[in-house]
Amino acid sequence: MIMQKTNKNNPKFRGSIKKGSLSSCDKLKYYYVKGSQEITNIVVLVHGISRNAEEIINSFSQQMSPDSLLIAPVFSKDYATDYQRLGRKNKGPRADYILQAIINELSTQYDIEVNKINLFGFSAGAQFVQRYAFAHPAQVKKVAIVSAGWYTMPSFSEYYPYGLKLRNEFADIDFEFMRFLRVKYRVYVGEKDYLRDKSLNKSKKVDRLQGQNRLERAESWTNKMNRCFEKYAIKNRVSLEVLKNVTHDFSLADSLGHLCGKVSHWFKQED
Amino acid sequence: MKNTQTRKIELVKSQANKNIQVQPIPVVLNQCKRAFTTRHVNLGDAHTLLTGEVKPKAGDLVLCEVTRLRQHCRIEQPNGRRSRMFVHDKIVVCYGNRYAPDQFESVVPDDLSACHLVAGGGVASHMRFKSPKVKPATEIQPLGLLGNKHGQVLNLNQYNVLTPSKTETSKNIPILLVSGSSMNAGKTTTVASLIKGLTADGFNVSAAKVTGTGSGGDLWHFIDAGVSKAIDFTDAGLVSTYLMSNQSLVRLFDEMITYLKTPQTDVIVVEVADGILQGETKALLESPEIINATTAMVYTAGDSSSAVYGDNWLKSLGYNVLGISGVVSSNPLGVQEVEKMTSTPIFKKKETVAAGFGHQLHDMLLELSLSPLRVDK
Repeated sequence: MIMQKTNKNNPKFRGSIKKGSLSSCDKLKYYYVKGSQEITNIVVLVHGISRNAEEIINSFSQQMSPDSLLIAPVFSKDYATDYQRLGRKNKGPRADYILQAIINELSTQYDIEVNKINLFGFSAGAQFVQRYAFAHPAQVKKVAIVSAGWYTMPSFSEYYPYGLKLRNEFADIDFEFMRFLRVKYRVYVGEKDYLRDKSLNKSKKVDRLQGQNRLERAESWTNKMNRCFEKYAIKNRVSLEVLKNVTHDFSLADSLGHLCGKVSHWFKQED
Repeated sequence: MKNTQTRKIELVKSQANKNIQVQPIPVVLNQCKRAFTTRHVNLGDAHTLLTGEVKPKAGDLVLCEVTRLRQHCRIEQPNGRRSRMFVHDKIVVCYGNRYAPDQFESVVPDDLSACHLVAGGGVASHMRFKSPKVKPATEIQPLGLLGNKHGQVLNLNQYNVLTPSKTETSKNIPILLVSGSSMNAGKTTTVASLIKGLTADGFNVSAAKVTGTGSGGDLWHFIDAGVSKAIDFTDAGLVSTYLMSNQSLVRLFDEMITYLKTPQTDVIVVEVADGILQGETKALLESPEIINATTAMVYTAGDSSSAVYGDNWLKSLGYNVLGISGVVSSNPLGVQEVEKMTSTPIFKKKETVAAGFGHQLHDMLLELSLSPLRVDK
């Protein structure tokens, strides 16, 4: 079922936000905006634990080019309980499967042929997009990781989700350095995102391995990734952008840090 | 009777204790490599993927990923093309049991853990024994059972296509059964030669393979020989017949014959897979219903001693054994040995396709069908 929502008051508005539910499972909702031209750019926007999918897609729709399809899946609290970590065995459905099913459904519906997607995730959504890119690098072009609480480090010495060593979390995922290091990553974090708030993972292990807050953790991951590029002689680099005066808040990141504009522009850039 | 029972599997929360996840399918199924065994399935019915603590059953459709290529490097598609597989390929196959002395013995596993592709026709199973003649089975990782919109598992038994002909016929249609001493004794070649001989002489022949493991090879062979209709147990919604009860097999036999009996049909040829000592085959051949329904038998054997043993055993059950054929018939010394021990004629491939053999065979079958043998239960 698709419901249409328009925002006529917004002068920059380029497309109407539609709400759909997956035909195979109507409890799985998503928002999307399809540009008027032939689609060459699929952008997936993943919410944090506040499930602000509509807010995120609304902000991005103001920056979108007419050849883009924006998709914002809603990973509900009662269904996709482990979505940040992709939905490990016995911990809920696979969130990567959900996203793939949504993309397949829309691609079929609108006859879209796009091989690689761009991913944007905020907070818990940033964790999801980072892990999704590691798990399915062949499907991903660029990843914007914004204010992730913590990360999966590119290292086989730690068990997943801290590192890449798998027990039996997934039947069909193999993390391959030589593939996921080819994906383009950018990390964004608020300058004032240093509070150890109640939603932050405060486990000793994460503190020890990645730092005390989101700022430190973003730096740790960025540095570790850049060391990996050097080690494997891959011409790639993760850049970390600190958004001035921004706390752990999506709307502030967009209004003060012009986040959506920056990310949209980067996604459209040819590398 | 069609088995249309399905297993209802509720969404995650309602069966939290069972830990079954019903989730969307992450791939476009039409773009996956789909096996021959699934050819009657409407993939449009598949909307969900069931994972977690699900216990698969024979015939359940399963989405798998190829993890290691071993014996089977190709998968037979619904149109018969044997498509090459690569590691990480997603394939749509069915769970099933397999009994094949020259390849594998395998059973449906209890869960969705890694298992094997034990037949190129598309059978996911847990390999227990393998023949030294073959490599270990190709390894696959089930990703989940395919389910419908309501989370009910899709099973081949929902896709039985054997709907009986609308025009009932009172015509006396002889049924010629072909059995063998073992796997690779020459059953399918013999069936095809008999079909060729009959059709070349102008008869309308239908053929069925009543037991075995889902694969198109034999059906294509029958079709190439000129049958008007060729069916096997997969058309009846079964992936294989290993470990099925004899009662079900007799019912299957009856269902197939009913389907093939049309006013146009002159002869029905039925192949029974594996050797006569294999559990299900032996029980089926010993069933009075099958003996009474069968007009005559052609027995195929790999060597002379098995030819003589099988000929005697089948006759003792009450079958009209018209001839001995198969591998032994192509070995002149073997033929001599058999001829010394039995009066049953040897059917050589060349003879069965020669002009006039079809008429001769049809006359014999017709005569026998007019005075059928009756064996009491």
